[in-house]
Amino acid sequence: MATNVASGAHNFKVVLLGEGCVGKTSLLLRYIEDKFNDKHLTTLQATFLNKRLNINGKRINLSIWDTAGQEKFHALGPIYYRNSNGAILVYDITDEDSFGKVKNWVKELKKMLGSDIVLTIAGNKIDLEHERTVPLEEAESYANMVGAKHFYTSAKLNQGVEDLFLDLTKEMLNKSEQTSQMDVSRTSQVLVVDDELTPVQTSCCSGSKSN
Amino acid sequence: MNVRKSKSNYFPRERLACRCRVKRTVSPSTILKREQKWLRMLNNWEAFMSKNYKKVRERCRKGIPASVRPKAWLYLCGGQLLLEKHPNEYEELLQAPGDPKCMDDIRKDLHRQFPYHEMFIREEGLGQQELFSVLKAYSVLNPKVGYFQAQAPVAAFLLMHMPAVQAFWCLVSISDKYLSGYYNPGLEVLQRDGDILHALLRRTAPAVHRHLVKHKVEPVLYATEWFLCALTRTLPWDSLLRVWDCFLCEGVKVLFKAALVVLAGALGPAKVRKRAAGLCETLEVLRHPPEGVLGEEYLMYHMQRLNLTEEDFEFEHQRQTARRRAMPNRSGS
Repeated sequence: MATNVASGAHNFKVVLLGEGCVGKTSLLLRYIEDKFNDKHLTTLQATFLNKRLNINGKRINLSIWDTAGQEKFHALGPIYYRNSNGAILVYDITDEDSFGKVKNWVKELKKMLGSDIVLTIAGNKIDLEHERTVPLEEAESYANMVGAKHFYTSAKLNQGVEDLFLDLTKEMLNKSEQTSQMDVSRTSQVLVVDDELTPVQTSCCSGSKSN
Repeated sequence: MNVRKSKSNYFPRERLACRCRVKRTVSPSTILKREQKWLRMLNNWEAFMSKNYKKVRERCRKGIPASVRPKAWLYLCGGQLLLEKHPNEYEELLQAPGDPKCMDDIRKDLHRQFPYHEMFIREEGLGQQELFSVLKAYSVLNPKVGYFQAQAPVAAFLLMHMPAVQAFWCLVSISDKYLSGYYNPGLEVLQRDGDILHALLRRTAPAVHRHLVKHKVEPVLYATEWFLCALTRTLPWDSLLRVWDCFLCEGVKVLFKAALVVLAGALGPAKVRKRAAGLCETLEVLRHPPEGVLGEEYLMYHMQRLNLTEEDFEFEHQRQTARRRAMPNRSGS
């Protein structure tokens, strides 16, 4: 799943997962378009948005998948998280059930993808701090335990959103550089390079042109 | 498998342009005549449906006059029969407490359906209240499904046309008969129908099918909402009404036909396919198909010209069902 393409740009696929109505679409909309709209539709069709960024001179293309939250869509999950480099597991700090759902996703992702994927947990809607039901320490210690970073965000007030995506991107970058270094040492020993393997790594939107 | 050549492989740009720009206007006298025909039909509904279904179908394909549409839909989908059979049930269902998780899920979605439509724009407004009632009543009636998020746009769309109790029975019929299985856990039926769609596309627009296969554009990635919401979130208003006229008369295969026409229309031109050389690029095209392709006249015209028979649908249905059964864990892999 290393994503170094010839052009030098890194392509990363990120998936947003979490219970319905926790703010996945709103986080994405805030991040990509810096907008907040409380009159948007429930997400039923998972869709993606692209974001290009530059970290220390490294060009990065993110394609971020926004998914449907209701449990009934669970069966489609693998279609969206397979080949993902990173996942953002979103919960609503005023909704304890949604935090339980995050735990389920973490379990599933660990089981299916092991440590190939960078996990980040986002406690959204901190503008409703006074209605919080998910205790701060619990969320943070859980994230710690499973090796995920934890962020507090408010898509509405634009708090923590940029940090969330930026940090995840850096983590994915680290991971991909580690793996590609390992790949280099491996290939130098094995000499046979199978060209056909190369296209598999690109998750989605590889070499995407400017839109 | 008699695939006739030429015709519907794809629809050239020029033809597309001229067909969709001219919106056929129906003269007032024709509308009046159609209304009278429909009223006569609705008064002898049983007889027409059992003896002269083809006539009903033909009239649905021409478009049901706006004034009789709500009643026609109620009759077409069998909502009227259900209503007569269970006259007080809707009110009774509303008395039940309902599953708390379901109620919670429904409440979270009320302000997220057609949020700019005057009926649903106000939080706690009448529209949203009725939407809650209809969805709640369904979840109590059919606890196995409970509430599925895709039902909300369908219910809201129905509520724009008829009183809540009628909308409810239409929703029951659509959820349990027309889209039977779509709202069950696992979404198996949806995934199977996606496979059927692609198999049919291979016949009607081979080049488009090849393109989708090449770039691994699976049906779930773009057609989930098309099917689950019966196109209510996909088509512009006029087209949606016409497609639903046929959908409620002929069933789910109308959704397939509309999907096939949209696919062929959006990705038919080789130029478009060349530009959309990738998964994301292709999905982008399908997320916003050209306006002309979604236009009422274009859509209806090409849906009726698709060279697909009842047997073709049945054949693919059987084949894809068998295929899925042979590999039960396909979706999870």
